[in-house]
Amino acid sequence: VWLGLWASAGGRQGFTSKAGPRVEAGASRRVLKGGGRLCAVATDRVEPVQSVLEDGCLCLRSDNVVEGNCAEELLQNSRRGVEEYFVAPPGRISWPKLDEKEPLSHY
Amino acid sequence: VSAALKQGQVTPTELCQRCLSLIKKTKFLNAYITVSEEVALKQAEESEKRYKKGLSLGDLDGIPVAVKDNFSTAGIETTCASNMLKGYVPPYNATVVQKLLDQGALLMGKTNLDEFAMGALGSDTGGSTRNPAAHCGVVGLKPSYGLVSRHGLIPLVNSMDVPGILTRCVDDAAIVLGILAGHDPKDSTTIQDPVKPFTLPSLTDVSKLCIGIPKEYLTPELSSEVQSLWSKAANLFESEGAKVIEVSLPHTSYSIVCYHVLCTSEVASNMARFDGLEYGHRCDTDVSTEAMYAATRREGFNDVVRERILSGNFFLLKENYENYFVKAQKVRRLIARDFVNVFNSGVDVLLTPTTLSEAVPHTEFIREDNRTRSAQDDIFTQAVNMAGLPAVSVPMALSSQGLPIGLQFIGRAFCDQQLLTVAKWFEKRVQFPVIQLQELMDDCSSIFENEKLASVSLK
Repeated sequence: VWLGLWASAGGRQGFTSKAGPRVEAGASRRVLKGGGRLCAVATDRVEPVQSVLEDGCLCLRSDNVVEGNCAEELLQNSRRGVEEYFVAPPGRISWPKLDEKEPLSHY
Repeated sequence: VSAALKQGQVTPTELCQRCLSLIKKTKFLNAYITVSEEVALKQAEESEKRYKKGLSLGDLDGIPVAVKDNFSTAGIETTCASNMLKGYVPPYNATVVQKLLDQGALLMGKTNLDEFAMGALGSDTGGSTRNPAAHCGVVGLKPSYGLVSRHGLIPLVNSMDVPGILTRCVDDAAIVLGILAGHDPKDSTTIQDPVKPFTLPSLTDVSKLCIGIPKEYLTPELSSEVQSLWSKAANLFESEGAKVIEVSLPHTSYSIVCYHVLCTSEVASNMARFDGLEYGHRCDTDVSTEAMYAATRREGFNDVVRERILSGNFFLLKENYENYFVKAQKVRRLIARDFVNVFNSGVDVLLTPTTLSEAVPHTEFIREDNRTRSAQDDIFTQAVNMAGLPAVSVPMALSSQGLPIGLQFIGRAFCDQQLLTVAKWFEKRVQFPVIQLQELMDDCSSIFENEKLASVSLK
């Protein structure tokens, strides 16, 4: 019965065809365009999937602290710290406009 | 190997040293990012003490294992092959790593991957256990979503990621699955039903088995060699009495696009944590937090990762959320439903190719842009991740170029044991020429001396 499968290869399934030279922007456009193809699928009265385990019960742990006290270890992974603090540069400084940009912000 | 260790034919230390030697000899392959030599030798020593006292922890005691570098390993650098996590040393072990260590396995090191597992070979998420397995002639198992803990696995797509298992034979995959599966209080997406280690039965009678062949998987891009092997495999089942039927997964053609919308969206969210403040790479500028985030993330991520983040952020914009992200979630349900319908019609297991062809040479591989490559390589494997089903790639034969080709079996959710039973039957019938380690070591010695890459001969 299934042997008929091999006989007819069918038309192109719409899988991505071979591309030309590597172009990052082009690839982005393809992804975005690809996303638009989804409109063609009929999804009336179809619920979105949040998790494939939606029929099961979500198990929550009891609210007891069983681990931690590793501030020193965690702080060791950061590049800049002062005592038990991570140090961030000043905030609330707005990103400069394009024509004001400094060399550091160009690709 | 486990039997040899138990009988004292080889000691854990000897085994460990041989592995380390092979790792050194194959360094040109760049398979390891970090080799944890001292750790492994120490573990080998402890394993040896246990064997001497007759107190081995189980089948995995003294067995060398390697772990992909997106699993957290306490005290051992974990980088996800990204500049963003260069030098990052986690303070904890991923649950699956801890389980392997608790069984006495020797951690040889952290293996290489595409940056943040977003490469053209797919992610754990889209097939990156099964695809490499098919290309390399080993068994690659993706368990059912929810069976194995993701705690400590640096997440790519939380709703699809599954730790995968790569072994030399199906029995070994079953052993490892038995150890790794089970509820983890630290991962609320693991199911609560108890899971016990199991031994696979040796199936002899397949007359009650129904194998489904999805017609949409016969694509023009499929190489004639893979197609021929797929056909041969179906014939094999039928000739031994199994029912083999054509089935349909009608939404297959939308799975690539659906996967990419969901994947890039979840990735955009998961990558937001990398801002240089608490861990990982941090740029030198201190002008402002905004400038720091921008420069850190530009320096820390490669093009592929940045492209996915930007795409994902686009799909998650308020004006796009319903039409792209939610729409993809709905299409995901249709794709998952396709599988459910097929299994409900009496099919036990689906048989499909794993890859479009044997591994392509590096020069050809780098010619395509990553998105196209990813789409091509993941065709047969990623719909399975969207449905959360178990799937395994089993090596079948060598191509005319001498490269391995594997086929994929897909099972019902949480029927991993049944899936592996069928896979084991198949493995026994096809007798794939599994690589012999001693030969490999001898061949590698000569390669190393000549400093030239040559194809390794297989019996």
